[in-house]
Amino acid sequence: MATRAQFENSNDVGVFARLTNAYCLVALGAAENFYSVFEAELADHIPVIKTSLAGTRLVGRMSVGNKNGLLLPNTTTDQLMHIRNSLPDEVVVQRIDERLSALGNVIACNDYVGLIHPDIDRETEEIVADVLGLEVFRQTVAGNTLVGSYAAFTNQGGVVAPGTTVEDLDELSSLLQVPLVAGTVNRGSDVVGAGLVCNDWSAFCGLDTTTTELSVIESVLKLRTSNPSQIVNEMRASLIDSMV
Amino acid sequence: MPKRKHEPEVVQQVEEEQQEAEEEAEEENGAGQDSESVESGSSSDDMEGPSSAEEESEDDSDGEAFDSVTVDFDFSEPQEDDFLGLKVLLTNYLDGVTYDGSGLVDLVLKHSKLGTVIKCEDDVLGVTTVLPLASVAGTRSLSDLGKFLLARVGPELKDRVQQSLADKAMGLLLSERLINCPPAVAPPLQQALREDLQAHQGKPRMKHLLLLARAFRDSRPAEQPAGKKGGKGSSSSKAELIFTQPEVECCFKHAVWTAEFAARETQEGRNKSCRPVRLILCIPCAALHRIGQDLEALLGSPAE
Repeated sequence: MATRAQFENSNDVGVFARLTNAYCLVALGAAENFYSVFEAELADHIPVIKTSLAGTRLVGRMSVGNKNGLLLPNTTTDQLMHIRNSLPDEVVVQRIDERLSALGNVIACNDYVGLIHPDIDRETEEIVADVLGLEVFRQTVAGNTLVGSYAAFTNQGGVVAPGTTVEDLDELSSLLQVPLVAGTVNRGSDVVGAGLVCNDWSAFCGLDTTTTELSVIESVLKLRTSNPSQIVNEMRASLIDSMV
Repeated sequence: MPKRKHEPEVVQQVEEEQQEAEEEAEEENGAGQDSESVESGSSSDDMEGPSSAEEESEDDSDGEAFDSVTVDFDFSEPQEDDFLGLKVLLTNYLDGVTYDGSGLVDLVLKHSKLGTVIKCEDDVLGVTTVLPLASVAGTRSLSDLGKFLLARVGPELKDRVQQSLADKAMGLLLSERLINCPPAVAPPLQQALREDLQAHQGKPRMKHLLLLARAFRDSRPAEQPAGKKGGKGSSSSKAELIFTQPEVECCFKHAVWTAEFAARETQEGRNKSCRPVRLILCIPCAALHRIGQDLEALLGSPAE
C-alpha cells in the first residue's frame, strides 16, 4: 500500500526518512504528523526510530541500508549509539569514511543488489558489499551519477528517473533482477529516490503525487493487494509462456 | 529535491559584476556610462513565448579581466511545468509555517493570465502574479495566509488586515524571486503586471493589491548609506529598512497602509548587521503607473 505524506512543507519524503524491510529511520520534525504516518503503517512490524544524522534532519540522504545493515557517514557522532540500540541485533551499523558522504544519494540498494556512484572508493565498495550483503555495480541512472537520488527499488521492483532510455532500463533491470519502470513522483519530479521511500510491502511518497504516479508505483512495487485468483492468473501466463 | 544546477552561481556572479558596475558608474557620476546594458523584449498582454533580458559586465575597477557572463532570462506565463519550481519559491512564503503551498501554486497556474514567471533554462527563478481575492477567497491557502497574518501583526492592524482579506476588489500580489536576481528584471515584470491587470476581464475590477514581502532592518545605526542600491545618501540614527526587491521599495512609498513584523531568523541566515522582517503593503492599482516610473528612476536604466 502506498501512502502520501509530507514533512513540514516538503514533499520529498525520501530526504527525511530511510525505510527498509527491517527498520525505519525518520527525521525529528517540528510537528509529529510525519512520524505518526510512518508509525501508523509500520510500527506493528518494524521499529520506527526518530533521529537526526550528522546534525541534520536529512536522514534519508545521509544513510543507506537494508535488512542486513545500515551505513552512516563519518560525520555521525551523537546519534550512533541511539540508533545502534534501537535497531534489531541482526542489523550491523557501520560508519564509513567516504568523501562522498551523502550515502543515500550515491548508493541505491535492496536486500541483494546495489548500485553505486561510479567514483566511490574501492574500500567503500567493499564495505558496502560486505556489511549490506550485496552484489554491487557501478552504474549511472539516466546519465546521472547520483544513483541513490534517481532510483528507488526494492526486492519486488523499482522506479527510476524519467530520462532513462529503454536500453538502460533493460540493462538495469537485468542487473538488479527486478522489473523497473521509468516514472516520476510528486507531480513530475524526476528525483524519484528523494521523493519516494519503499520496502517490500509499503511505500511513502509526497502529498503532491498524482493518482497516475501512485498507481504506477503501486503496480511496479507490487503493493496492490490482490486476491489469490489474480496471482494464479499472472503466474499461469508466465508459466505457459515458458513452456511454449 | 528539485534539481538546482549551476544557475544560481551564474546569476550570483552576474549580480556581483553588475553591482560593481553600478558602483563604478555612481563614482564616475554618469549613469549613461554604465558598462552593462539591459535589453528586454517587449511584453504584450498575452505573455505567450519567451522574451529575454541580457546582461553583460566588463572589467572591474582594478583592471583585471573578469569573465563576462551572459545570462538569458525568459519571461513567460506560469505553466504546469513550472509547478515544482514555483513550489520551491513559495515554500517559505509564510515564514516557515506549514501551509497549503501546492494549493497556492495551483491558484497561480489557474490565473496564469495575470502572472509572469522568470526562468533561466527551465529553472524558475522568480514569479510575479496577482490572485483576485474574489475568486480565491474560500481556498485553504488563503485561509492559511489569513491566519498567519492575523497571528503576526500588531493588535492595532488586525482589523485592517481582516478587512483587506475580505475585500472583493482586492488582489493578492505575489512577488518572489531568488534573492540574488539582478534588479534589472523588475521593470519588465512591473510593466507586464500593469498590462495584465488592464486586460483582466474579471469582475469586480481590482482596486487594491495586497503584498507580503521580505525586507531587512539594519540593526546598527546607519552612518553610511545602507541598502543594496547604495545611493541613498541619508544617514539616520534609527534602523533603516533594506529591501530585497526594488519594486517593493517603490511600492512602499505609494502604499495606502503598511505593516511590519519580525521574521524567523534561521541559524544559517543569522547576520549580526540586519534582521529579517516581513512587510505587508496595500497598494492602490491606480498608483502602479507612478510606481513603474519611480522604479525606472531608481534603477537608472530605461526598460525599453
